[in-house]
Amino acid sequence: MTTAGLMWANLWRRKTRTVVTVLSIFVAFVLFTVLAATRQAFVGGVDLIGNERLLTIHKSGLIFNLPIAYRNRIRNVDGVDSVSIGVWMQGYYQETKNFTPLIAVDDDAYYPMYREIVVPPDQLEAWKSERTGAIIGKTVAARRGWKVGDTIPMRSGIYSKENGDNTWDLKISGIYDVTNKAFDTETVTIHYEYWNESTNFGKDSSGWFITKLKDPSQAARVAKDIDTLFANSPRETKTTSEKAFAESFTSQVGDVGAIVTYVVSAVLLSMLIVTASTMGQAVHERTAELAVLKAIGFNARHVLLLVLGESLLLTLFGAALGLGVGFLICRGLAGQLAQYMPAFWLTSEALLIGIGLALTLGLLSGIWPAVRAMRMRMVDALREA
Amino acid sequence: MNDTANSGGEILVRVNGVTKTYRRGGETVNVLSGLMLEVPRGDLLALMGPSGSGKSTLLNLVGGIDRPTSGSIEFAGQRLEQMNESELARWRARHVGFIFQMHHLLPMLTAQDNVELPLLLTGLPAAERRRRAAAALKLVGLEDRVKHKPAELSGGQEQRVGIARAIVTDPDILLCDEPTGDLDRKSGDAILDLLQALNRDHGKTVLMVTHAPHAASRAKRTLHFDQGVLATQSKP
Repeated sequence: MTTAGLMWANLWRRKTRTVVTVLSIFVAFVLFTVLAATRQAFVGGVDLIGNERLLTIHKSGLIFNLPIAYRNRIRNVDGVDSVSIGVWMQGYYQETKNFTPLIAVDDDAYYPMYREIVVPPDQLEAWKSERTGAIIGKTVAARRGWKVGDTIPMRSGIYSKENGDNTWDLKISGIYDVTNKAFDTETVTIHYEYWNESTNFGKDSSGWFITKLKDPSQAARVAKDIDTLFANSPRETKTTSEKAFAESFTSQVGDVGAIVTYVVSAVLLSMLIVTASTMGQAVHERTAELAVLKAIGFNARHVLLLVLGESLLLTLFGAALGLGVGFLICRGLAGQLAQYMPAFWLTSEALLIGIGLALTLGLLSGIWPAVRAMRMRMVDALREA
Repeated sequence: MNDTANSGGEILVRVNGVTKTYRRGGETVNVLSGLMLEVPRGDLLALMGPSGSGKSTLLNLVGGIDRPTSGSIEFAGQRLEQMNESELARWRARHVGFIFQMHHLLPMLTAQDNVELPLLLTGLPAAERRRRAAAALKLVGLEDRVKHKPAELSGGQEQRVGIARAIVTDPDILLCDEPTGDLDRKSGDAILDLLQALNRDHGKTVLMVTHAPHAASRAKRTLHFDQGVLATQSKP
């Protein structure tokens, strides 16, 4: 018999009640992990995007392209290191339900600009020399069973070729991976020239320009200079950092971070009430036993710690199960949601917060019954028993 | 009437003019009034009297789980009223063994674990705690019931576990509140045999509250309480 053993044994004297309470805590913490991963998908990924690149789009929105000629003018702005272009083609494979991001990029600037995206050098070189070549993300490759050398018919939901066909036959030249979880591994990139030659509209335009800065601290000034270049033109621009763009994109689907925080708070408050009620009943039923413990030499502090320890054991047991199972669920979901939410994952920070919440829950739900037990008068408790 | 030691031995417990009053529904109830009492080490003392006469209150005061309204209680020269709650708890763990009418064993623990409970406070290694608990259970004749939980024991066996829990720390005094009150005659007699043996063979001082004359007849002395004072004293 140890003090921890005594706490554990006390917890299981009413098995059904303890199992129900542990299950409630378990479900709450599973929910916590999934919501924390969802929050990360919407909010956390943004934090991982650096400020070293700027994104320039049409002032009226992403659906309008900008003239390709803007690229050279942006290159000449003071503080600009390099400029890349991109066209969003709204790709899918065979059927529209098989959505796959498909973008046309320039082969000389795009990949060098993104140190977060890793393409084997020989594959990158092969892609540059293959007109219909494509570099694809490792997740989409794994899911579809595609490998280097395969030819895949990708279709565009926006563009068609001059013959009216919206299918681009692409030969896979390389497969990329990422070093930063905010970036997806689902995208198929093709040569801008291939798209530009084949498309039946939008020729010599780009959906966006990405500008790599020589000095990220100059981002605000360079962004302003770029927009000034095209002010009062038929196609004015809006330039922001990639991070700011991602934040603004995220805010369009609502303040997911706040919503998740509210839901988690409500769930944990419910758990606090459930666990406090369990501990309150447990202590009430054991009034005489606690008095006996005091009589045989347990002091007020021992009794306080005994009840608090039980409360902590109860919540930590349920929370550990919930966090563990939640972690596995998030890992499973991350694979399935990769194409929609590449940043969906449970961070170690979220796990630590979960453990902190479990400790707080255990302490808060146990403190009142523990203080009551500590203050209990032995004589009164024994007389009532 | 007051009782003072006349055996000539060491006085283990000295009760000096102890008064205990309670407030009950706005009324002050005098439970003990200026009680004087000396209990020599090695005594086996029965406390009898009607309900509310103050005998259980005296037991609680001597055991340090209640405090007198006035007067003092000395235990081997230590004045209990001068100790704070933590000191009293430590003192109880070292010197006092409580035996309750309803046993108050923890139902989810085995007999062995119940007996080990007071030893959790001693800092002894687990193996030594187990050894001492086993020895205490053997002393009360339950060496074959160590793994049984209270629900698997008879009333008499439960009380034996309660006694083993009380003696496992080798206390100076055993305070027994109606130890046979919840048992049939045969089981009760076995418990009284055990208490007598602990007193006779192990030198434990025993204070026993009882309503049963046959239980009191096992004591060396019997004190009769009535309305908070000692009414009579008798010896078998």
